[in-house]
Amino acid sequence: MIEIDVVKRIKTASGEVDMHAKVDIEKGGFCSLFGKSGAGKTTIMRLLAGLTDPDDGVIKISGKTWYDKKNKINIPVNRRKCGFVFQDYALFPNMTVRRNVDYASVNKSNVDILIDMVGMTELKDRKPATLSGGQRQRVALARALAAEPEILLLDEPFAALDADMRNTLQNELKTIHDTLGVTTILVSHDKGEVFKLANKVYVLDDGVITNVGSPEEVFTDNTISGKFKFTGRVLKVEKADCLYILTLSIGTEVGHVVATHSEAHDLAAGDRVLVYTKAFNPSVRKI
Amino acid sequence: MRELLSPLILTFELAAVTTFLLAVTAIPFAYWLSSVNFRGKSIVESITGLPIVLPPSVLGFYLLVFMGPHGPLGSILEEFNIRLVFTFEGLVLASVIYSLPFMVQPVQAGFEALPVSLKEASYTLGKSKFQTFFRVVLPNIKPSLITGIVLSFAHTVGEFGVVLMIGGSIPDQTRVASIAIYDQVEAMNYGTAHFYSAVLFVLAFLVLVTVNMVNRKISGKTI
Amino acid sequence: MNQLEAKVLHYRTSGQIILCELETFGSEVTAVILDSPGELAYLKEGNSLNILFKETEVIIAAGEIGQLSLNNRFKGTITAMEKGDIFTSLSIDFGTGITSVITTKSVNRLGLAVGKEVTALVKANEIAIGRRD
Repeated sequence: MIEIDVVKRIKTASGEVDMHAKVDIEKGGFCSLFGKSGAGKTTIMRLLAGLTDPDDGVIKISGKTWYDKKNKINIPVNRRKCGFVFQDYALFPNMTVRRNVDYASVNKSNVDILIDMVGMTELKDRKPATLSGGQRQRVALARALAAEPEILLLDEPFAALDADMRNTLQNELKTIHDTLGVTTILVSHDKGEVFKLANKVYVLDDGVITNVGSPEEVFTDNTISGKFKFTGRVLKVEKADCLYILTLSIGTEVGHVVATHSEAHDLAAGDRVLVYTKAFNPSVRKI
Repeated sequence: MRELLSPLILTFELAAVTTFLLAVTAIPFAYWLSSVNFRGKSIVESITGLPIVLPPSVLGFYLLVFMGPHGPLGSILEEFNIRLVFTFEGLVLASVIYSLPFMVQPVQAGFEALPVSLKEASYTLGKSKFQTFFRVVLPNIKPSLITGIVLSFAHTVGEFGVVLMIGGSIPDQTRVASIAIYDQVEAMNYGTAHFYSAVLFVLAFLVLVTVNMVNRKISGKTI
Repeated sequence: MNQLEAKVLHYRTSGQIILCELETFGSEVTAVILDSPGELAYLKEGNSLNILFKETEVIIAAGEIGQLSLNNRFKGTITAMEKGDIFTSLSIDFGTGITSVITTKSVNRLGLAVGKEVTALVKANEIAIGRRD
């Protein structure tokens, strides 16, 4: 259980504000901090990791106090066990892939397992400068995990990657999280990414948490009226005549929806969609 | 032969000791300067950089006054029967002060150019400041370190004014190559002066070529 | 999904059912929705909002229209056609663009072509409303 309740003066797009961040995350959960750049998302992660000191408040992890202004407790960064994956990856240029992971590792026998887990075994003797963005991201993730963190903090980890690579790495991250169960916090400004990965999302705007809940609760707001709307995942997009047939999974069911070009042209398998119809349309029958 | 080589050996002894002392003191000092921000930081940086712009004789003169038997430092050391002026030890101390900016400035610039996230990443991986400094920070500013070490060494080899003021020209004690050249020219021994000069000339050239090659290799370019 | 800006003229409710009278690009629109006005903060007289209706729910009439129950009628011109084997997608301009998808059989029967004047008809209960962001 992560309990953050801190105040920090930050600079935002609309001047200096006192950000009051109150965040609770369950152990093993996957939480996302969502918002525009400059909203204070990265600051919350830095406060948690101990890279920035709050002006006031308390940070508690699984009952242990990491920060408490009143009682003058401030556990230093290197004893907090926060795996931080930086936006610029921050791989050590003087070390090979393997040595980067090895440097961080608590248990040396896990180094090769982690490198294999992120698919970097063949490139383990390369220096970071010779790797692509996606490969560096993988190494940064393996390195953070090697330190056996209590919390994994990801600062817009996929922002600099192209759509295909982003999709692949999101899936890998999901698998890794499901396998290791490490509490994860992801800073993101991509709704699709949040939907795909997080089970809780905090929306930040100019240092203020404006909304909290599951991605469905937070993002499926009242922009469209209707009593018959669901979120689903696109399984398949097929062209049929001048229309498209979408195969969707909604809850545990799979259904089909006819879509026009304007609805379907930017959809691909894996995308989250809102499915809605007028309450007048569905017919019902007793079963 | 022993007599002929003495100034050269003395020069390299002095340069080596000075560079070593600078490496252990000036590198941490440069790291501290790169990581703090306080009022008067620019004054500290200006004092450090003074030897670059001051005439060596000015610096030598004040060091002589300061370290002399009646100077503030000299008079204290006199109580312990230690004398700095006209000794090798005095020469080392003067050289450390004189060459300080040549170590501090390139190394500080190297520290400042290093992305902060590298240090932060190391801390979040559970590493102490000490481990981070030696395993992440220092290895990644290798070109700056080499530049600082070579410049300090070369600058100490080449100093004249300060050495003359503090050390004078005592054979086997303070008569380094640059002083010896001056003495030999005064005595019209051009052959000997030429010998010392040529050795310094060739060495200086070889050192610079080596540094440039090493730095090119580190930055990944072909030689 | 067709999405047009519309202005709320007035609305009335009966239980959870709301009947909205709106105006879009010079045409009057009636929408019937199932919701409570309290939950729809943007449903206010004089407010701008979006009306949404699916392309496959847009009926096309050519020539004189006899007596029909449909309230929502947009008189416009066909600006583009994409003919498929079974379905045809029509772009219609009545001050703004909407799309209708009807069977190719009907297109042929009515002799529809680009430039032809038609009336697009939408049942009131097919129109949803949404907030304008």
